[in-house]
Amino acid sequence: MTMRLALLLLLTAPVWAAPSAWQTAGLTPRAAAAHLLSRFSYGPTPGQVDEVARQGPDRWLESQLKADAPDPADARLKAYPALAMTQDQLSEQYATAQEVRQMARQSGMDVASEEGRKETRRAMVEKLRSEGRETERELYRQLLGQKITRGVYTRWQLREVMTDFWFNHFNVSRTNNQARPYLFSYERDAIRAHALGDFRALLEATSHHPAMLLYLNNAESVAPEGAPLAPGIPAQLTRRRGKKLKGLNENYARELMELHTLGVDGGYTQKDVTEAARVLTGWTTPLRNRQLRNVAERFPEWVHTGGDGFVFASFLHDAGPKTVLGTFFPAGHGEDEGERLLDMLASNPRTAERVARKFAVRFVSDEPDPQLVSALQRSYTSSHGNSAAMIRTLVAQPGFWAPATQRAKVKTPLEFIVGSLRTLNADLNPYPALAPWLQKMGQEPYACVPPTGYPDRNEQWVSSGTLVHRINFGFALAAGRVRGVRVSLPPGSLEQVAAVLLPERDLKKALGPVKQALSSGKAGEPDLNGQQKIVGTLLGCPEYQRR
Amino acid sequence: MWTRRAFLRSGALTAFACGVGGVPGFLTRTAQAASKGIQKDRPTLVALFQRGAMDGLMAVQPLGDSALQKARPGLWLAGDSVLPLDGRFGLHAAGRPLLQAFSEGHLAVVHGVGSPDTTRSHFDAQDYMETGTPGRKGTDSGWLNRALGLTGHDHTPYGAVSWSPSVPRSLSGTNPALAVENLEEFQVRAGGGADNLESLYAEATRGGGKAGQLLSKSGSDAFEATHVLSRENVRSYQPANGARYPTTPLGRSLRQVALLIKSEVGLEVACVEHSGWDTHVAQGTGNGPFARHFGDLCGSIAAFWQDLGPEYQGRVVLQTMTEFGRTVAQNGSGGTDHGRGSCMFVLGSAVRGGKVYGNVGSLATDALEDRRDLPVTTDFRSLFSDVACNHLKLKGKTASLFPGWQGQPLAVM
Repeated sequence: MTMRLALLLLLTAPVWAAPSAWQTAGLTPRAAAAHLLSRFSYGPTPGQVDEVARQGPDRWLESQLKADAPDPADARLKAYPALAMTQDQLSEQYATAQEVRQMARQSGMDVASEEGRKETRRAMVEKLRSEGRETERELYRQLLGQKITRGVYTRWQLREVMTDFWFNHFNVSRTNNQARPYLFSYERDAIRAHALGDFRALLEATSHHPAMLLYLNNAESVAPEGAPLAPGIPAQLTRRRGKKLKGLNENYARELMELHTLGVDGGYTQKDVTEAARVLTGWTTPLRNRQLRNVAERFPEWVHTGGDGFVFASFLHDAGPKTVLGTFFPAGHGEDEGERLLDMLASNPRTAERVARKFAVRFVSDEPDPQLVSALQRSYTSSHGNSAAMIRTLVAQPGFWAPATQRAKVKTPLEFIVGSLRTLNADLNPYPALAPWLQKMGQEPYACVPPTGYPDRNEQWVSSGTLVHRINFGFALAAGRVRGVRVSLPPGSLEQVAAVLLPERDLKKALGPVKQALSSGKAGEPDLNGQQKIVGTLLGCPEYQRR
Repeated sequence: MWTRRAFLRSGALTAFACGVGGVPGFLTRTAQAASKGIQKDRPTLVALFQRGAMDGLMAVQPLGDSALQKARPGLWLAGDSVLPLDGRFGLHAAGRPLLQAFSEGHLAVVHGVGSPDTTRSHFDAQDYMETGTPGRKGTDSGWLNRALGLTGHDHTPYGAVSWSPSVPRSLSGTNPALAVENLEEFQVRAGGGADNLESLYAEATRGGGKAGQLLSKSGSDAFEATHVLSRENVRSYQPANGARYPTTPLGRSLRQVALLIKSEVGLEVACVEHSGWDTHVAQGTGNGPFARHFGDLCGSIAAFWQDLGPEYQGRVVLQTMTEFGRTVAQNGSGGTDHGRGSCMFVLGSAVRGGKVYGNVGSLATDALEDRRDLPVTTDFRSLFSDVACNHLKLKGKTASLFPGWQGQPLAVM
C-alpha cells in the first residue's frame, strides 16, 4: 500500500511538485507575471498581469511558445493586402522607385527638376493605380503598419518580440535601395516564420533571401578572374558573366561570420573571409537581374532556382578547392558547399556562445550573469539553437528572477511606444503616424543602416536628446494628438492610473516627488486636462522607461 | 519614506503648480550658471566621424600611380574629376569647396592614417578609434570624453554635444555629454508637466541601480540644457558671411555647431556623424554615390568654415576621422571592400595646412598591406594627440588621453 502510494507520488510528482524558478525565488504569481510580461511581450494591457497570474505564469509562457491558437489580431491584419502575397506577387504589385523613374522616362515626363519630379510622381502613382498597382512606398506603409498592429494587438506577443530580436540580429536596412523592396517578405518569411524555431533555419532563410543577398552584396559576388569554373559551361555563358559581374564581394561572407554566427572574436582570419566568400559565389537573385532571368530560362541546367527569389548560378561559382576555418572544401562542388558552410557555422560553439549572450542581454540585463549565459549556451547546443528551448532554459534559471535583473532594461523606443499603446487600450487605424516618433527616439523602423543591428544596451536608448522625445510623446499621446491613434485614459487618481501603467512597481519610490503637485488637482495647463496630465507624466517618468 | 531633499523639492513644485512665481528659483540659477563664468574664448574641437570607412584613395588620390590606376580602372579619377593639391595628390572634384581652405593653408590632409590593429570590422575599428585604444576592448571611456575631463573646466550643459540620437563611443564616459540629433526639436512640450518630470528624473537614482542612474543623469542633463537653449532661437539662426550649408543632415548639424559656438555657451567638444561611406557597390568616379557623399562632406565643412569667419575660426578646429580605408583594387561590384589606411582632414587657423602629411608609397601589390590595402603608416593617435595637445591645450597629458601609447604626435598644428 505504502509502496503503491509512493509510486503514485513519484509518477505524478513532476506535474505538480517541482516548484518553478520564480516560486523558489520567492515571487508571487503576480510579480512573476509582471516580470514575464516585461520580458516576453510589449508590455501588459490593463488587467493582463492579473490574468496571467490567474492562468499561471508558466502556462502563459508555454502557450506563448506554442502560439498555435487563433489570433484575434488577424482580423486587423486584413487591412494589409501585401501580407497575403508571395514575393513574385509583391514585385508585380508594387513598383520600385527605379521602375517608376523608368516609367516616367518612357512617357517622356520631366524627371530633372524638383518640381517636375513631384508632378511626375503624382502622375505615375495615378497611372499605376489605374492599372491596379501601387508604389513601393505603399508597401513600406503596410510593413510598418502591420508591425505596429501586431505589436499592439497580437495574442502571440512572444513571437513578435522574437521577430524583432531576430530581425535585429540579421539586420537588413531599408536605406539600401536594392534590398528595400524585399524587406516585407524578408520579415514575414525569413524571420517571423522561424522566430521561435531553430537558428539553422533562420540562417538558411536569411542567407537565401533576396533582401540579404542584395543588402550585403552576395548577389554580385562571383568567381574572381582566373578561378576555376565548373567544366562544360557553354561559351555563351562565360561571356555572359558580363561587365557587371567581375569578382568577389566579401561583404556578406564577413558579416555572416562576424555578426550572424561566430562573432568578431570567433577565431577567423581575413583568409577565412575570402574563402567563405568563394564558397558562396553564385548565390544570387534573379529578381533584379533580367540578364540572369534570361540565362535561367535558356540554360536551366546552369541556374538552379530555389524559389522565392533565390538562385544558385553555377556558372558564376568558383569551383576550386577552399579551406574555411581549417575545414577543407574539395574542388568541383557547387551549392552544397554553402550549405555545408552554414551547417559548420551554426554548430560552432562560438555561435552558441554568441547567441546565448545575445538572448541574455535582451531578456535579462546588459551585464548578465555568466552562469546564466553558460546555461543558455548548453541549451543552444543541445537543442540545435532552438529559440523556444532556450527561453525555457532561461526562465528556469534563478538569475532570470533575481531582484537585480527586474526593471534592469530600458525599453527600446519601439517597446516604449507599443507598450504605451497597449496600456492605454489604444484603437489604431491601420496607418498610425508613429514612424517620426520612433525616428526621433533613435529607432527609425527598418532603417538601422549598418548590418550590426541596434546595439542592445541601455546607453543606446537613453540620452538627454531622446528622453525629451519620449516625454513629448507621452503627453502628445495622452492629449490625443498622435494621428491615427485613439486612446482611452484610465480613470481615477494618480495612484489608480499608476497601478494600471506600472503594475507591480514600488510606486512610492517611483513617484515620490510628483504626488502632491498632481493630486492638488491644479493642472495649470490650458490645453491638458488633469487626466491627460496624469497619464502624460506617468508615460514620461523614469520608471515607465524601464522594463 | 521621503528624503528631506525630495520633500523640499516636492514642496517647491506644489507651489509652482499652483502658479506661484513664474520660473522656480533652482531653474533660474541653472540657466544663469550656464551662461555666466564661461570663458568666451574657449577652444572648440569638432570631431566628424565618417562611418562606414571612407575610400581615402578616392578622396585624395595619389596621382600618377600606375599600379593604382590598374587596380581600379573603374574608379580611377582623371581629367575634371580630380583637383591637383600638391603635385603628388589630387582631391576628388566633389571636394572643390574645400580647395580654398587648403590653398590658404588652413586645411591639412593626413594620408595612410589608421589603426595599428588590423581588424577590418567596422564595429571593432570604430570602437578602437573612438576609445583611442586599438586592440583593447572594454576601455570604458571615449578619448574625447577623457579630453574633456583633462581640460579641467567645469561642466556646462553644452560643454560636449553630439549631433546623434545617442552619445557616440568617443564621447561616452564619466564627463557629461549631450546627445541631440537636431537642436530645433530639443524642447520639452509637456507644459506644466515638465517640472514634475524634472524632479522625478533628479530622483531616479534612488534604488534605481544602473538603469536608474543612467535615466537620472540623462534626464537631468536634458532639462538643464533645454533651460539654456530656450534663450536661443535655433530656427531663426542665419549663417554669416554668405555661407550656404547643404540641406543635408550633415549640413544641418554643422550649422547648429556654428550656432552653439557663436552663442557662447561653452561648447568644447562637438561630435558630428556622417554615415554611408561603406561603398561596396558602384562607387562611381566624378559622379555617383561617392561623389555625392564627398560633395556633401566638403560642402558642409566649407560652409561651416565660412560661417565662422575670422571672428571664430581662430578657436575652432574641425577634424575628420574614419575607421579604416578600402581595398586598393576595385571589387566585383565596381566598389571597394574593407581595407586599412585612409585619409583624414584637419581644418583650423593654427593648422599648418596646404599640405598632405603622411607616407603613401607605391601601390604595387607587393608594397600593400596583406597585398591588398594601403598600409597604415601613421597611427591615428599621432594626429588626434597633436590636435588635443595644441588645440585643447593638453600638452603633457597624452599618457592619460591615449593610455599605453608611446608614439609621437604629428606636427600638423
